[in-house]
Amino acid sequence: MNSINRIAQAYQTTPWRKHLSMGMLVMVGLLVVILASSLYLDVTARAAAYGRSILIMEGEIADLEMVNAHLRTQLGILTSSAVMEKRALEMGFRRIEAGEEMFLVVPGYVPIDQVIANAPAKKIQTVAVSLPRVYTESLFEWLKTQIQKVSLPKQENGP
Amino acid sequence: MKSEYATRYMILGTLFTVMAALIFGQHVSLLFDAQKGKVLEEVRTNHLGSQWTIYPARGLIFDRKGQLLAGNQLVYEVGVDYKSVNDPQTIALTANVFLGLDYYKVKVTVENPPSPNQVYLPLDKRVDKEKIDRLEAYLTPSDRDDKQVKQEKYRLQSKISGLEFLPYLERVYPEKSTASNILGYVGHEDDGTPIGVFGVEGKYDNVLAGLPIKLWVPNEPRMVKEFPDIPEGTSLVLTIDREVQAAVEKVLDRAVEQSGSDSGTIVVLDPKTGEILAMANTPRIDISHYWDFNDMMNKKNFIFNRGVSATYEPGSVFKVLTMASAFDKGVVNNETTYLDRGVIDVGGVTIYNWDRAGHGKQTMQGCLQYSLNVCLAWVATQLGAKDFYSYMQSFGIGHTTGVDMAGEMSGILKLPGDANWTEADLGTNSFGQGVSATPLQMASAISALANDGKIMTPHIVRAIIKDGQEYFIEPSVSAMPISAKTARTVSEILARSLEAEASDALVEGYRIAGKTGTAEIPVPGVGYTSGETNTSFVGWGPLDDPRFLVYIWLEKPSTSIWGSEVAAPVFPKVVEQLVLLMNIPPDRYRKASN
Repeated sequence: MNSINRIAQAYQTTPWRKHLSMGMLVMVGLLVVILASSLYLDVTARAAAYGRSILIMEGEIADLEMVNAHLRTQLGILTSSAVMEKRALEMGFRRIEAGEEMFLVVPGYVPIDQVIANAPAKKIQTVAVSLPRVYTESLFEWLKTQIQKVSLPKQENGP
Repeated sequence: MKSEYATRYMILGTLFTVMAALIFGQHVSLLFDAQKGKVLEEVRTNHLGSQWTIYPARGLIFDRKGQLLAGNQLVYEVGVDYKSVNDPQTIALTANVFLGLDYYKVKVTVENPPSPNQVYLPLDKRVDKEKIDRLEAYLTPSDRDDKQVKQEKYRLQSKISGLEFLPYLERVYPEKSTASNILGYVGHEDDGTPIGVFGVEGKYDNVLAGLPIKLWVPNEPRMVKEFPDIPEGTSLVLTIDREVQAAVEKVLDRAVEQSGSDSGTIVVLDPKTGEILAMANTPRIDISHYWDFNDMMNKKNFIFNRGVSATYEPGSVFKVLTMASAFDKGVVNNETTYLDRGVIDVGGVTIYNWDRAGHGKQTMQGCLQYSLNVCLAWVATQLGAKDFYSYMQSFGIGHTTGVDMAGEMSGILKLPGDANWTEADLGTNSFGQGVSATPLQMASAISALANDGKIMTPHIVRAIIKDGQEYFIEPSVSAMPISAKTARTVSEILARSLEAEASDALVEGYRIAGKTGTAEIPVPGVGYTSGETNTSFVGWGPLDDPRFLVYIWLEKPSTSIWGSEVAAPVFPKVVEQLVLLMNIPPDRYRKASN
């Protein structure tokens, strides 16, 4: 028994084995750091890319809103009084003179005066007021959240 | 060994101590140097991100039928980004060919920045979207282009690097000068902020403009947050109908031309609601290009909207108010007669009729029919100064109507007790002399006769549109100076007066009430010696169910000085258009349908 212990002790304390063991530990540590750094870099880079996309899309939304406003006004210009009158005259219509009009008595008819204006469509409210955390948080922030979740006592469901 | 390291420790220790001392010193200096701290804070903030101010699209303006009167058009600011410039000559050539800018001016500007630190300089503003689209289409390679053409386009893109296009919305008015005096326009403050000027744009500037939102946009893309939803400015629906407005403007333009008047104004009101159906003025401008009319607008006597901002002595149309007050107070009635000798003394001042003649025994209808100054001065004395001015104030004379348009004037009504009031004013005020009012004030006051004694607050906005919902504005009564009975009695007298006179104001098929007005224009400090007049006419109808009240003012006509010859004939021309566009059948059809 003693001899076995001695052999085991001698094996463990062999310098080259000690160095190998230390080297392996350092390598493992390094690997963990590299893995974590890669993950962090990946998540951060993607978050940055999404952030940039959001900025670009916000710009596109603003441009489209301006184009919509422009087109709406162009429609107003194309249907303006002067343009419509010109088109009507070109099509052979003319303004009636006083006395040319004919009125018919329609019992029970009440003219409608309240015309609803061609109001701009209600803007669709975006569902999320802010971006989900997944697009903005760093890996460390994510880890912190996960740890907090684990450390907090789970809430029991009520009856 | 220890002494060997001691020196090194000493050096390191000293270095760290000095560094710590420097940091501490910097902290202390920042504590006492606020300016430096502010600068450093600004540098830090600039590195972190930037503050964006986002202006919502300005609200639209519609007429009562939903036709667009004011919208927003996409235009561009063209500028040069000096850091990115590669080829000033190509930039100048492109700006000249595609955008119509001056080649040499652009080239010189691009080649010579105003200062070494100049980053950006605008070359032109309000560049049409179509021009930018054409340039973009030219520069963007398409599938049809062969390789060489594509390469050439990429090369050109690189060469015009530094030529920037910044889109923004500019106010535009599809109807051009129609209703320009009602709408006003959108100018710019010194810092470039848009601001509504005159009319509805001025009065409702805050509502139309919406609330600009300040956003912090970080430079770190990871920190970017979604932009909040920025609501557009509130849109407005006006009470005017663009067809009615355009038709009334046409009639006015012709009347001003034919009568050789300096200017003209026509106000059309719905007496039952106070809605302004049309308000035409001369001169008008194309408000989309208001800057082209700066010379005209900078003239001393230029008034953008004479309907609400120009006050004048209205003359005989004012007699309607005097007579209505006397009837309402009961000092005169249909049987009252007055022996007109052509002259009367009130407060030491002798008042004559317009023809300096006496007209004998007259009923109150005769007094209005022949527009007798002497009779109306007598009526005012019967009423007494206290009641006369009390009624005039109830009619809204001397103070603003509260109309929702910028630049409304109140006119002048001197009151007993005022330093410059004399008893003679009672006599002259009774026929519209020595008192001033705007056309809208007069129309609003006289509308009491067309609406059973009630004056509705005149207004131009019929509804507002916010977040896609339309909210209608309820008409409100601003005053009830006379009873319904008085209103109907005096209206009937005025209708008979026109019919008895076979006035040029009569409209075939419709019974109307109305009154002409001719007022001499006073010369400051001299009196009524100019020989020039303001001619007016006020009329409303159909008499049994008034749907419109038309007030006409032609300033200094040259073909005739009389309202009956210049302003009255304009009334049927306006009404002929109104009844067609507002679908008001002649009396016989309406009575048949009732």
